Amino acid sequence: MVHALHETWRVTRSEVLDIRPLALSPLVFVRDRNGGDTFCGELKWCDDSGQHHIQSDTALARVVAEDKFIIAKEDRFDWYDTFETTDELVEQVHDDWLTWSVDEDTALKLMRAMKDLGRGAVAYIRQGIGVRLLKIMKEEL
Amino acid sequence: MLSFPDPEEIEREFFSRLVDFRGKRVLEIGCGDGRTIGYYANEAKWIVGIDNDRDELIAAYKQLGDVPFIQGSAASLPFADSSFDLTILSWSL
Repeated sequence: MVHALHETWRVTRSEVLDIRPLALSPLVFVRDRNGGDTFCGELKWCDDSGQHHIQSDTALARVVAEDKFIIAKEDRFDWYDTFETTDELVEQVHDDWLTWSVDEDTALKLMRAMKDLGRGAVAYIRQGIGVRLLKIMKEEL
Repeated sequence: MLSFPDPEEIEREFFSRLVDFRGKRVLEIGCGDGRTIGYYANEAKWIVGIDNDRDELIAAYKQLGDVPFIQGSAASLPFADSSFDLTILSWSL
């Protein structure tokens, strides 16, 4: 990742926009028809090579310390993925999220909440997304 | 019917709030199917998308045929120094 940032620095003249998930577990909820939320658990990281969002933060901190970039602006927002059924949520995480999984406890709480809250309830995953504008520090030739 | 914030709308707003794309030469690393290139395609001077997933790049090309897409890795970018004014690391770092 540090090497990729060095390459990014090399080919870029002035700015880099870095957008990616925060190094926090995505959270699983059910929202009832009145807008009330029931927390069911968090997704679990399942890649043996380590939590790469933490590794990305570490790599970025390193190149900032090397004075190749400065963080000019930083913000965050929440990304919502919604699902009509528990099965749909579990299957999509399994098929598309790759490095995250739904553990048994969260799946059971989700099933129970969907059943208890009845018609109109929506399952959803909330994931924090970080956005940073990096300024390139480079002496012009 | 419950409504949730549209994350793509929020993401698009962040792009336009943080960066002025007008007249810029833009590289998007991890461009995937070109989803976020659509946010600024009409403003940038020119755009290059790079991703290591060939299927995603085919999808991108079908949507944005006038943008050059390259299959490759961020670890070895096939461009000269300072080729771009702005680089976007799109969910890719």
